[in-house]
Amino acid sequence: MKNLIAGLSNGFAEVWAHKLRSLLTMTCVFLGVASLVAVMGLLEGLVTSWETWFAEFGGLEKVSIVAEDSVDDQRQILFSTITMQDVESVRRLCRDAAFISPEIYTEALTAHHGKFFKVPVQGVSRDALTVSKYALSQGRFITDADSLGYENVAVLGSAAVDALYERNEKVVGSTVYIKGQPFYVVGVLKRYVLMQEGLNVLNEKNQIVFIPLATMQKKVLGKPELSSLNVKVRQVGALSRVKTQLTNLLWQNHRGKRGYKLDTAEAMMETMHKSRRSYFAVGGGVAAVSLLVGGLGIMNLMLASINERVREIGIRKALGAWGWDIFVQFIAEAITLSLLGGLAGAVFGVGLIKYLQTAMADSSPPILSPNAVIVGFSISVAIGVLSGLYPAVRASKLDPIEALRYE
Amino acid sequence: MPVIEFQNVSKVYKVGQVTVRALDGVDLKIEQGEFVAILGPSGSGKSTLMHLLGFLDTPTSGKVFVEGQELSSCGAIERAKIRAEKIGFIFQAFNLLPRLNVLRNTLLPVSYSRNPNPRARERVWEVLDQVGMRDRAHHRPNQLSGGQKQRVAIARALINEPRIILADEPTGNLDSQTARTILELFAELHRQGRTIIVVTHDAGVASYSKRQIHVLDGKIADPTTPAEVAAATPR
Repeated sequence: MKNLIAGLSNGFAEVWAHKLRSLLTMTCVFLGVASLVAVMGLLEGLVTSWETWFAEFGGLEKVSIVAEDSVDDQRQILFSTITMQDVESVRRLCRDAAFISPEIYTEALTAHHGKFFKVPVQGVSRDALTVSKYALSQGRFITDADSLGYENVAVLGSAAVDALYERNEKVVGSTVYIKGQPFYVVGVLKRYVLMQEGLNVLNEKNQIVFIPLATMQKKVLGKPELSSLNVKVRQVGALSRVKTQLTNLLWQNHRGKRGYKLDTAEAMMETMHKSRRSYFAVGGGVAAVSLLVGGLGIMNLMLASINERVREIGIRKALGAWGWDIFVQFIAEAITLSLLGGLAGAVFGVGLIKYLQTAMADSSPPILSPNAVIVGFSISVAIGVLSGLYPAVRASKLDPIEALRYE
Repeated sequence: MPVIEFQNVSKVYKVGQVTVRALDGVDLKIEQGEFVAILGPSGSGKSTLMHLLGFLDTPTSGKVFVEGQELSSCGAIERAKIRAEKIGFIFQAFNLLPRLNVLRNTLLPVSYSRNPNPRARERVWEVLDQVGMRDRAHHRPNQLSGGQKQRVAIARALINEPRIILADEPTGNLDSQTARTILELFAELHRQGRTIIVVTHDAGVASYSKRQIHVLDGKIADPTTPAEVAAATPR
């Protein structure tokens, strides 16, 4: 340890003695570590952004049974809609379904004090809040009582509020008209913002108005068929079991007829992971090439340095240094070179990420992960060790007599 | 007990197909406190003898004892340990490290000692005083004259308080005036009780020693005892 510290201090002195040559050698390690830190930060930012988006739409725990339109004239034979009977069956037979949310969509014109806004309106039950991961900013959500009483109550998304209300106007307690019918506003949803490529990818969640399912069925559309039935499983591990249960149950209820499909986020998750891997491979590859070049540069410099210092090695050996002392001296010099390059690279990478966080505020800004800095730093040490290994072994094996004779 | 003893030591090199017998059955005893000169023309085996005395090399056959301990075939690590702790080297070309100042050059062997003197930081000033280089402690070798460089090299050889000072043509690169002061310094070190071995081809240098060993064709040509040398050398 003492040797290594002395070696690092000697190494620093050597680097300082040959400033320009050392600087040029360090550049590749610098670039490699800087790009590694930056790429990891960018990826982290991108992946976090995807994951947030993904989670905001229900994540892996959500299974959707979605109604499909029949396209041909065999509708009578083949087509079957999702009904409240399906909801009951799921509730009764699918024990891993923690929350069950039957939903009906329609596009409707909403109006308030002379302002109009065409918006998707959803008839939902209490569980929609949990299954589709919404949160309220004011008031309350749809309750069982609202459905039982066919109440004309509504919960508005922030886009609807923006379109229909003045700034600072009281929303909860006011009345909006949906398809001409008055609805009492009981709650407002949280505003969702997640910028990717300059777009708010969560805006869909803001463009929504919720009303009770029963009210939608009886008073607004006048028909009971559901648009979808969303289920939130107790845990992700139960996903495939729930899918099988739902498939069987629907098969039984619909006697083999089609008209619905089962949707999960698995495929999207897989795509996300694939993209993450390929991004990392490209970014990591660029960094790796740069680091490899950096390592070769250091090795080259060390070999040249040994040739210049054969006599010094001989003197040190004559004065009592053994192979290990010389080995440590040269490996420490290589580590000093790569460490300084790595440190500068890590600092630059961190600075770059800090800059990009402001510059890319509306497009998945990078996230500074301590891991990236630690990995970059460790890699630079590893490069020092690897590139210094051969030169250091060569130096340590020099015969002191030959080395002392060297001119 | 001799500080160093060679018993029937031979060193054979193979250069391609040719076998060179650089040393051939050398017997040699150097007692504690002796001042010995090893003389011989170029190619006599003098350098090989010095390499063996300095534990830079191992003999092909024969036995080497250091303070009674046999170390004929010790490995590189053991030899490095002996070099660091028991031998102080002084070279013709001074061999100071150009990037280190006088102080750090002098301290260099301390870092290679397995039992470094905890007082080395104080000791370095003592040895620099001894060779008269205290006021140059922060100079680099290129700021020193030849004689000053050799003084620093002597200080470096003394820092670990070795049993033997081994000097290879220590005045070879110096003018006669400077050479004399350096040799006086050796004589002074000898008076302080140190064992000094000087390898030289210069009879003038050898005249400072108390015993001369002539090497010729790999053999000790004319072994002389200290008493004989004392009788033969007019001082």
